[in-house]
Amino acid sequence: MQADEGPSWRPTDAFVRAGLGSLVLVLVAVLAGRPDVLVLASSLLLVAVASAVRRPGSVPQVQARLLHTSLREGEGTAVRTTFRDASDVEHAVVALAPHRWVAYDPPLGVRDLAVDVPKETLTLDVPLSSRRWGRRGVGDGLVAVTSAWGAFRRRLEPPHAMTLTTLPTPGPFDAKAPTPHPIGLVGTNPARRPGEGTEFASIRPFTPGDRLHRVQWRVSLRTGTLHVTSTVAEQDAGILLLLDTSAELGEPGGLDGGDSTLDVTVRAAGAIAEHYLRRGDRVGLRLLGRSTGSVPVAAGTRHLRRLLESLARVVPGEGRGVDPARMHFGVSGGTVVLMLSPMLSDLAVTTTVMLARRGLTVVVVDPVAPDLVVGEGDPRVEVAWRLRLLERGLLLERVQSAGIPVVAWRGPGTLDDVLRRLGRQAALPRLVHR
Amino acid sequence: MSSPAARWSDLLDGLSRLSVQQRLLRASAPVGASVVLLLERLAGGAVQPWFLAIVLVQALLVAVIPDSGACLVLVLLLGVHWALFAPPAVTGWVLGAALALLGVHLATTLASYGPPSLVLHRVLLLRWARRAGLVAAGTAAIWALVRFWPSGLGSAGGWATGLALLATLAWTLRLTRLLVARR
Repeated sequence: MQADEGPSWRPTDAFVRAGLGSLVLVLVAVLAGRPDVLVLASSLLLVAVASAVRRPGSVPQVQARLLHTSLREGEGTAVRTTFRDASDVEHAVVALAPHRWVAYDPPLGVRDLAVDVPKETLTLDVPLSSRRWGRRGVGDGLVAVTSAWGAFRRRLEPPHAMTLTTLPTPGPFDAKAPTPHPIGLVGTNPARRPGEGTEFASIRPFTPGDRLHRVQWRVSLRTGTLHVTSTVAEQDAGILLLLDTSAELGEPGGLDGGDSTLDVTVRAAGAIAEHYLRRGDRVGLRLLGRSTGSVPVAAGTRHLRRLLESLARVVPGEGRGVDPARMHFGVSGGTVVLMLSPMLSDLAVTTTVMLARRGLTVVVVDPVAPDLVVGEGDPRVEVAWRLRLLERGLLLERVQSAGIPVVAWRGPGTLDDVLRRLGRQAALPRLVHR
Repeated sequence: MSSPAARWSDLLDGLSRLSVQQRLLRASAPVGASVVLLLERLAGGAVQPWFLAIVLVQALLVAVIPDSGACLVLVLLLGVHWALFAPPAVTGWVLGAALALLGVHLATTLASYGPPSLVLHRVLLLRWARRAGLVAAGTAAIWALVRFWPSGLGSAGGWATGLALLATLAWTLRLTRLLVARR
């Protein structure tokens, strides 16, 4: 990015001081006939003359760019400032504006470059690391170059911030339980219909078309008729991650501090998506109450990137005042909906219940940690938070009474029990509200 | 355009982030000014307490905002006071005062290279050390010239004064062009 054209070289205060200071003292010395004052002025006079002789001719141009525009939490990149026509530059300094979730090296984001041998092009990198997911502007600040003897300086207008997308680093997650309704083509989840797979289904009499290696010889010898081992088909499943970003509880601390509920939500969503996509399942994303930021259900490693980029765009406080009946989720039957929500609003509860009544398998993943502290040190906020927790308890009861399981996020194994239970329930006939 | 309150806040913020190197450079202004006054006293000049207070306040101002005109005011205060209150003799104290003034100027120049948290590169510091040595040598040469001039520069005739005024005028014109034309 080209930095804004600032004014050309300007004399520094040092040059003005040396020039005017020596001039006034020399005048006093000459007019008053004081050679001692001339000696006093001589040091400044020499500096001023040297500065005038080495005045800069060429006007350097500055360009700033981010070496990487997208990275993961904790990863580093650098703001590279390139100075062209810099033959008269003796010293360059870049001072980047501080941003909450950006750590610079050095910590205050000020880096300088002293030129030993004059060069046409100079490069100055300020390394930085992003400490929290999200999209934010970085690289704005001050750039200045100084000529020989510190006499002239060219100060450039602060370059505009460049957007750095920080993808959430998915937390540790693993699920051994299969998803309840795999209805795709190929995958790793045992389906309800028989087919080519690895999971045992039954031993049945041979029918034309059965493969020879499926013949179960022991049973065939015992019964006298040919029997084969049958397996269930293995299919991929659809997972929809539904994120409630209407509230953020707790103080976010980035990678170096504690997690807010939104941190847990975003990182959990990333972890779940990564896990299921690597297993070959299809994963989609929907932000509750927002028309943008949705990612349709799909598979593949490139799709994971899309999901993480969409998660990086999450902004807290969105999705209020939306009619859940008007929301379109774009999910097909058999999709498992994982609702990541602190369940603090009627919207979240109503949407969850509505999806369950459509016949979808819905699981609420609760990102509120049991030890979450809100309003520490402020008794009024603490009381308000306790009241809010009581209300939340009622909302969670409403969700659970509708037959929707609620699990607290704890990383690996969070979904195992509930998915196994749902898998068993899926085999039973059930009533669907339409 | 930032408000005075915002500028004041920025200034205090900057002072809280001063690097050790910047602290040393900025401390050189009050120290150097005190040395000039001490040498003026040793040279037989009179340093009034009120003037001492003004100089110290000004020097502290330089330490707080080195990238300003405060140091020019300090240099002029010290130089004009020397002209008014010190005896017109080219002694070794004069050379010492000239070098102390140079020290104040160079330290302030280095302190104004960047934000308060900046730690200047070693290459730049070495270069300035060489420059300081050159200028100090030049100053000593001028002092020696003035000190050991056969009949003394103070007693030079009108032609010498006229020549000096002409040189000063030429320097003024050159300086004006450099300072004004590029603003």
